[in-house]
Amino acid sequence: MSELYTKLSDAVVAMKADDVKQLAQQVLAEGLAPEQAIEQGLAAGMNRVGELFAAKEYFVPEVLVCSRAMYAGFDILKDHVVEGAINNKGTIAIGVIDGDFHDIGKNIVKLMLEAAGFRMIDLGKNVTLDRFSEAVDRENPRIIALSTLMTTTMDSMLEITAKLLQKKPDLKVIVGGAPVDTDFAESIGAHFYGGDARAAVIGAHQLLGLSLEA
Amino acid sequence: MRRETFDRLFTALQGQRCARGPMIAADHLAVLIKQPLGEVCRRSDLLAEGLLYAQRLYHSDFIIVFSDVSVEPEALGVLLEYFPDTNPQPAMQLKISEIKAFDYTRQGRIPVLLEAASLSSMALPAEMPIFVSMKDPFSLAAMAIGTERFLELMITGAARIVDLLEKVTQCQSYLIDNIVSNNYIPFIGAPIASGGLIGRNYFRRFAMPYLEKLLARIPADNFRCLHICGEIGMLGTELADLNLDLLSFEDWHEAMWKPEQQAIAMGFVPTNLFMPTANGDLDAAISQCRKVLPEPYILSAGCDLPAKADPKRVQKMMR
Repeated sequence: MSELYTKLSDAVVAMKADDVKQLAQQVLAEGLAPEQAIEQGLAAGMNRVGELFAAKEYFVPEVLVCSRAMYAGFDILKDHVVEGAINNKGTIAIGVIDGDFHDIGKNIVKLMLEAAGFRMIDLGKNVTLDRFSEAVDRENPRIIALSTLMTTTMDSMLEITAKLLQKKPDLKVIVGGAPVDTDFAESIGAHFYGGDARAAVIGAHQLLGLSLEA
Repeated sequence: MRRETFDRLFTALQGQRCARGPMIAADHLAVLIKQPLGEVCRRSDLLAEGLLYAQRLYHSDFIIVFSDVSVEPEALGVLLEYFPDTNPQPAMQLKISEIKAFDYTRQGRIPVLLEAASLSSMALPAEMPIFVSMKDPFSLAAMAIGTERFLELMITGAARIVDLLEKVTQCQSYLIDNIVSNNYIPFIGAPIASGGLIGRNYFRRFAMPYLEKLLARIPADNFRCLHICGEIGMLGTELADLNLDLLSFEDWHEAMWKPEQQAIAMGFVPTNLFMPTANGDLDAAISQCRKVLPEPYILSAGCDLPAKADPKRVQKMMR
């Protein structure tokens, strides 16, 4: 593996967006494969960030700044990637439930899953059953991730899970957010409760029978 | 000295060693009194009607006047969008440069909140404690400019955040002065300054100093109350150092409850257990709270009740 990829990864973890940009330009200048720089540099860096987050060494502020650094590099490299060259572990549609506009948790889970190699469909916040349903029809995701911060939306989670599973029985449902837990996930028929972004990454791999190392 | 403070509160609660009372926002009140939330959160008469109805229904030992988390951000200038049946939401947040330190207690819906407290107090026994909710400066500042932006700036633009926090603390000082001068108890909520979200170091640097400034304005015959959302296990020392009279929380760690922590504990029945569809064991959760909380304590939900909480489940906690 190129030393540049390690430096990219380190710069993401160190929250140094300017260094990431410079290293991404260097990857292109040296004719290295941008898809490898993304996977082994930027995404690997975000995976380390996820581990630091799970270990409570990093918190949400660091995760956000690291993600900005990652995207600074991604924006430079993405236009040079050969189509299909980046490993796609599956499609996940994610959204904050109807009635809730708090999306910080959803955004963090999304970027960690994206960094882990999943294709993410971000439906945003205040997402109704109809919009989740349309996304299932249009994008054929393997997983739906439902996020909420507010207790007010827990009824909607039940309804959305039931209706989506009726529509696509092989769909896997992950729920997360402050007011929910494993008991609640089980009670509404969801397949996994993601207590934090790292747990969501592990859960997505488990639900699809994938190895975390892949 | 602190024990005397506790005793004053519990004397007000008619000498009980365990008080009870759920934290209820306008959304559940609207369901209880069958009125549109979009009206309840904007009308002091309906908010008071809901609070009084809930007090009678649940036999709470106190009331907490709380509408929704957007009351103070709106008063600062955040543009809100209102809906008939869901909480108002920010349509446009503020730039840091737009936020000023001023007496904002006549702005937005703060008068609605204070008027609802006044209407409620007239209808309740004189000895019943009335808490009025307000936010800690950290959470308010985050909500005013957008939480993600705020959290990022703690790393990339700390000086701007400190300046913002000073201004917001000044605004909240006017509010807390108003609350205590009317003999209500300020119930300071910290939804964003949660340990799980920002960790101990950021809490010490950006949340705690401004919270201390606010708490310092509370006279000795009132109460220093804080509700903190989410995971707080790592903040045990800091929460003890705040010298609170009451600490409401949703996350219990035995280790967090340090010997020097003398606040009355309030909480921490999981809010999802009040949902009609919940399959968790509410009785077990209540028993657990009773078992671990040091007396005197306040048995309550860990955070505000779900809008569609089953009143029978809430009543179970109140028995």
